[in-house]
Amino acid sequence: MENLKDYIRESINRLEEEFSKGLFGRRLLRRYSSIMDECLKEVFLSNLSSRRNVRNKSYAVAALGSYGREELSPFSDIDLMILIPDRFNGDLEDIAGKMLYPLWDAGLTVGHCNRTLKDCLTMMKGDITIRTSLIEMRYLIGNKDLYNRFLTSIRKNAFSKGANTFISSQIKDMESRRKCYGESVYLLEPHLKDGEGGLRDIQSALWIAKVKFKATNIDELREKGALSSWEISLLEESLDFLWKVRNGLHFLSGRKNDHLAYEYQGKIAGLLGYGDSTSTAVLRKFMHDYYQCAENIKYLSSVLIERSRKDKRRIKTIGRRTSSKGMELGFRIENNGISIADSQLFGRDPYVMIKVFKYSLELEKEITIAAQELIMNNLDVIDEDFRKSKEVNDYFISILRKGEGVAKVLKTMHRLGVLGRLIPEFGNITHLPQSYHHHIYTTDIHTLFAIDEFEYLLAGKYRDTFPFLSNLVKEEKRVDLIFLALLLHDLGKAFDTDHVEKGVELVHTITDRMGLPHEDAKVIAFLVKHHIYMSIVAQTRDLSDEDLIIKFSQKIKDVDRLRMLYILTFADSKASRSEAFTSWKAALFQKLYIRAFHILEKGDFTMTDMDYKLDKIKNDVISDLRSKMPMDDIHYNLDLTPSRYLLNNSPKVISNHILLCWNLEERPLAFDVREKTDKGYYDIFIATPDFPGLFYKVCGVMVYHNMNILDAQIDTRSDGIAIELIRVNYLYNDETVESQEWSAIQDNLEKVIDGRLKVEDLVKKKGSYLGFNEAGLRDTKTTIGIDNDISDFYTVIDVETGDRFSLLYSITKVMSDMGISIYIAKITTRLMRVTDSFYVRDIFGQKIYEEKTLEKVKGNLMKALEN
Amino acid sequence: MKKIEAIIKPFKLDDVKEKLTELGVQGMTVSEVKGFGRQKGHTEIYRGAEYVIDFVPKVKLEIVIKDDIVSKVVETIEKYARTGKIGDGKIFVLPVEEAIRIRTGERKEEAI
Repeated sequence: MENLKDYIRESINRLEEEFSKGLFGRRLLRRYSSIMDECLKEVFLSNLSSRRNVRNKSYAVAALGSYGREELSPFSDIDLMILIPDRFNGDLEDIAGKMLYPLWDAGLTVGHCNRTLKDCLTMMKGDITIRTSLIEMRYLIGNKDLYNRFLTSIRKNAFSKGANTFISSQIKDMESRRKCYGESVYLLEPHLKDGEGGLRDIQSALWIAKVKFKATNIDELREKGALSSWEISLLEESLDFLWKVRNGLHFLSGRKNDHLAYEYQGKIAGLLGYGDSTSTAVLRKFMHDYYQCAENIKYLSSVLIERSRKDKRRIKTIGRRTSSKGMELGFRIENNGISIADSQLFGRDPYVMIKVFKYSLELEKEITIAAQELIMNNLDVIDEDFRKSKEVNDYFISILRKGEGVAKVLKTMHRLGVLGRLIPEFGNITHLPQSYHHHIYTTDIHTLFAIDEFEYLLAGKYRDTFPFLSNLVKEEKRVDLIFLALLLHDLGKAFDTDHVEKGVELVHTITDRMGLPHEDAKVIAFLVKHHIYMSIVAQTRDLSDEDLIIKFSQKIKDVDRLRMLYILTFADSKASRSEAFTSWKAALFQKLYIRAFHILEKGDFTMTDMDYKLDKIKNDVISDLRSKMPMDDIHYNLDLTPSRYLLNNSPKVISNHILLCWNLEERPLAFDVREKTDKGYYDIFIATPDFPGLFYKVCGVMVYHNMNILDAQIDTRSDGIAIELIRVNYLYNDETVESQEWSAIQDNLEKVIDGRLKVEDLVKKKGSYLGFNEAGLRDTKTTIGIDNDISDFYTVIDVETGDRFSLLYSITKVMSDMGISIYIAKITTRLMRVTDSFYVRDIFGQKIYEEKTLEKVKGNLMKALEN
Repeated sequence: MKKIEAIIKPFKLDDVKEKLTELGVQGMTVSEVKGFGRQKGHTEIYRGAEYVIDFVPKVKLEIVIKDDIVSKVVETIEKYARTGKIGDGKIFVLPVEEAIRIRTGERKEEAI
């Protein structure tokens, strides 16, 4: 061993090669430990002693920690202790130096200490970690008798005094670790050592059990009844897997690294023989095995801890006497957990199976391991009668209603197999790989994560990152429905067909079986049916398009459903991958939510028969036009047309308009007049490519031709064609309007629209005739209101003033001059007073927010109307 | 070689991407970005409370292309990202000095 550094590097390389050939886990750790043993002995022999008198040395060297347990991973720290007699006259510094320098030079991380037996015993009293490390010390070299003396008295002390303090401090330690590294086995990038179900969990538990059962190794633990043979083989198997993964991770990253980051997962799966390291199926299979293994470790750790506590167990029987606790006969609190006193209980009262979870949630206590085992052995009490029982379902729903702690209970139910029996459809998605690339969890785990996310949101964990949603969730009164919808939202994935459609079908079966109230069942089916929809609309549609929001709102139908869907969508996408719901996406969702909320709140477009009504109108239009234009063109034109317009006009009128627009082609204007002889007014239809100020020009032409505008309905199709429906009466009421007059109107409209004629000139020509008939009694008292809250899409300007001829022209002129476009106009005349509402946007097609501009609009309108 | 950086409305991404692929653009980098231009932010009112949106969500496209298709690419983005309303975004054209494909070491236009 000329050069220690090279030797160690070569050894590690050799190990890595053997690793790739299948030398895994414990065997690899043993091999590396023994390589290190040899190195240390070699260093010792060449620097401190000859081979012959090694045992006669006055001191000894021992291995501690993972090295002591012969579980040394490549790149791990090497912990050494030099044991010295109470009266020692050798040169400690020299010994330590000769022993350690070569190791440091070789690039190893070595921790060391020098201790007398007295040191050890005193320190053990004060420091728990020292006690644990000393239990696992292992002889390396030097005076063996001295070492044995140390060992005997250390064990005697470790196992007798303060064992209970040790145990409770270990448990505390475990809990604080959990807070730091995540409380779930199912993390996207778990920590192999310190995470839940990691190596440290089982080590701590083994330490506790060893102290409690006075055992020095696993075999002794079995002899003393701490673990059954079955549990020991599960332990060995799980540990071996975890070590295997850890070996791979260390080799891949070339250093000590226990964070199983996403980038390594596929590669390790490849190394461990799962198959193609780039395949997601391989990755999933590997991570699934990892989670299973971590679950086992977590389970075994709890078993060990619980059994170690058992000697001095505190048992409270929960019978009628303690009914204040809310539990029934047969349950009791044991070691601060809920246990089942009578193993025959399930036979007599199967519903206990669900009650135990309710108590666990309400009393905030774990279910003891013994009770868990009893549950797992009695799963067959959950049969069809059980699933249909009202009592069972009432209990289940009351669990979901609790809000806080639900996720944890559902996870326990899932782990014990209860959830899959209670909802067999959920059993079908257990361990089911998902096919979308942004999911890396199996469907059941994804579902439980989504439930976690909802609970985090409820608990206010996202107060800073998603403030809007965090406030919104406080409005939610039916958390039980959201929990249930989340639980059921992906059930369809177990089938090859469209998972949403199949999912809804399954939801009906399940809610029927559960006997859920009809209204609740409908909400859950709705949520499952639309669980992808909101995401699609928010991310791929134009949210400033009012018609889109109206159509979206029609599907959602009420504000409660909208809120629930938003929350469910959040939890679902956050659980697919935590970066899948960014603040960027949150901004889009929020916009969609608020806009749809306002539409739904007003209720204008949300009658339940809305879809039906729209469909009927469209069908009528189609059958009307079928013979007159190609089918594709009819559909195309219908798609362009805003819902507001479709709902406000009869199919006959709509058909006529579509036909007119279709024939529009290169001409600037489509024009049509319908006379309502009995009512004394005319409906004029105008369609033309939209531009700012169009309505103003139309008003001017009407003024010139002595037409008084009674009503106007303006809409813009999504291809930019403005459709204006104007109801007018003729100023000379008793005369009929000749057809030449209509031609003249159409002619003038075409001229002002294409710019050959200025509308101002036309109106000027009219000159002094303006307003002639009311000259004496003009009522100019005017109020103007501007509202930006009514609509998310328009600024609304309300004008109330005395009626007069050409009034609309004056108003629209002001707006046109200021670059304001009118999208909707509602004109009402009552007893010589006019109330007009204009839905407007600025030149950029946005609402007008600037106070200054709004003031100016108001001022200019006032000036125009009061003069 | 030129680099095109375009900031567009998120819902226009699919259209623009499709049309650019049709033009023969081989690859692009897409990021979710937030920002403001002349549109500034806006305020959403919900149940009487104001939520100020300072930065509006947009998508940023980055494409490096040969000089001869620059005008075609710019035209396409302009056409398909347009809604005519404020906030449609911007397109920037920048000169690119060098391009290297890391795996093969190919340079210049070979590498894009």
